[in-house]
Amino acid sequence: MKSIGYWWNKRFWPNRYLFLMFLPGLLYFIIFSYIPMGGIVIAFKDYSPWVGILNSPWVGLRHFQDFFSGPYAWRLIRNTLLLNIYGLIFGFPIPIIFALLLNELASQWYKKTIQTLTYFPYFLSMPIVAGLIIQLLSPSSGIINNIIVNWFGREPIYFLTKPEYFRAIYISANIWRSMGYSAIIYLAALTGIDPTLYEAAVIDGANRWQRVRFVTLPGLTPTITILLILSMGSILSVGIDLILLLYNPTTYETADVIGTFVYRRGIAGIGGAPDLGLGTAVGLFQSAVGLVTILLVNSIARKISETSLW
Amino acid sequence: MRIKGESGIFDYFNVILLGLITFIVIYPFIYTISVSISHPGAVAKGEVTLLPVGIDFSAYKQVLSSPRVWRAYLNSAIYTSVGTLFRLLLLLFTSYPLSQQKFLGRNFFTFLITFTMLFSGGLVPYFLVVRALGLLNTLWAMVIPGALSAWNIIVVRTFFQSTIHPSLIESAQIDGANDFQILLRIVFPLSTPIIAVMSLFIAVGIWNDYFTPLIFITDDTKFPLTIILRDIVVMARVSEFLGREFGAIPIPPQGLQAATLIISMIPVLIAYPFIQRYFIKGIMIGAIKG
Repeated sequence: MKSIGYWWNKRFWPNRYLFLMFLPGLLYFIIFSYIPMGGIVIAFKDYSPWVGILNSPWVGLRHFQDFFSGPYAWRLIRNTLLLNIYGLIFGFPIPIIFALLLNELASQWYKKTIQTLTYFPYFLSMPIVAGLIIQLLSPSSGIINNIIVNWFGREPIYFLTKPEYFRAIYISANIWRSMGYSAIIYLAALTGIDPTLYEAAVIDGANRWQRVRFVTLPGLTPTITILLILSMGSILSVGIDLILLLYNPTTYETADVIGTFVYRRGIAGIGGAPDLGLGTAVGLFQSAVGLVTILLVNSIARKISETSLW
Repeated sequence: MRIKGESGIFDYFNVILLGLITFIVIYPFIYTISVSISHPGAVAKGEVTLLPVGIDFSAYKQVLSSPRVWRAYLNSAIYTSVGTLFRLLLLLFTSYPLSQQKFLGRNFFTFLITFTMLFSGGLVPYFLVVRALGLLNTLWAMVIPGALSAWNIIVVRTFFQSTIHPSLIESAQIDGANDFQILLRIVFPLSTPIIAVMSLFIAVGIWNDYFTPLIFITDDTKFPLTIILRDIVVMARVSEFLGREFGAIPIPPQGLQAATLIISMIPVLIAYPFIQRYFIKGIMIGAIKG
């Protein structure tokens, strides 16, 4: 057991400048991460800003009961899960396939050009993405409706006011935006594959498809596993910026998710004054499910494969 | 992996398929550029599908004559430059001690920071904290909340650990340098790649940030470009922001919206060559950590 004097004189004081350097960052996390975690008590209180958090009366699980017995809970959970699941089914394999196809290209110039062009949408802000979507889907001038009207002679479709189209629009937009970006992660992982593995495979008589199947794909598996675990951790949260930009009450049926509900009811106060207690409770539900899922998925991944987050 | 000299039907198919995919990805840009520079009459009649019909820059003239667009542009530029400097220094100062073995409490602090990736208090308490600090409607609302991310700290810490040899720091210490001097004179000059990557990450993040100003900025003289863009292209409040009846032929709203979109993309386009060069490096550095 070492004395306090040892810790102070030998370990702390010589490194005091390191602490000084670290202090602002530490304060940042305390203020913007840990104090809000403490703020979770609002979920169990009838919070009123005038009396403060401590003096507001406890209400137990009332906000959770209100939410889960209310008309929206099921719809929000369903919409969030479906956007994530469809996003995974379509959005996860596409960049992998895209990277594999790029990897097979002979012309480095062509490969580089394609990467440069497809990587670009990732750097646009969500309002720009939403603006491009609105331009393309506009009932009066958008290209899609031009085709529907001029080629097929049908009535134009008001895509953004129809709940049945929302999921497809949202997921396509996300794939469009991030395909080139995700492909770069996979291509980076591909450069880490030992070239002698390919040489050995060729000597063993493996054809091109077999080389992809037995060398390239196994080489990508750790990256794929990590990215899958990370995406499972956010199964109850979806990127809400684009939803907030594109949805409206006519599409809430499929577009309203937990995150947008928390924003609308907890902060913006659209449809009544902001309900901080309810917003906090729903946010807590979302964070808690996320934490449990990532712990669960990570432990499963550790058992069945060699790759896990920790 | 393709072996030299080997080629077949698949290669032709692959070249065409990838070309097609790329065309689909860039089509929205081509279309929007074409709409923005086509003749207003052609835009109004919906004649533009791929290439511009006639050439007419009056939509750009009208958008660029709007003081509100200029104001938003300036605001975004201020938020991005101040924010990038602030966030970058904070990131480097926070990451460096965590890379040093001798830093007491290093593992505990690392855990404290990584835990924030797994769990959070949610949006409402976060909003209440920012409001209680009096940051709403200030420059700092765009700079301080969200300034640090656990992911970036881990990436930078890993970079310091793998690139800067401990003996270098030790010898500087023996020469009497303190940790601040070591950071400024030895660590920073050796870390230019990661500093470039992180500055770009941070700058693009602030420039494109939509949610932060949505919840923290309500004063319309302080709106950044993303909020103005939403008003013009998503909420279609075109005449309110860009004025009416500019030339002989009124420009249809979609022409003005297209021009606004293109104008707002210009800074990202200019930065794109740098972004491309350094982001790929950045992803690689992140991937090493895995």
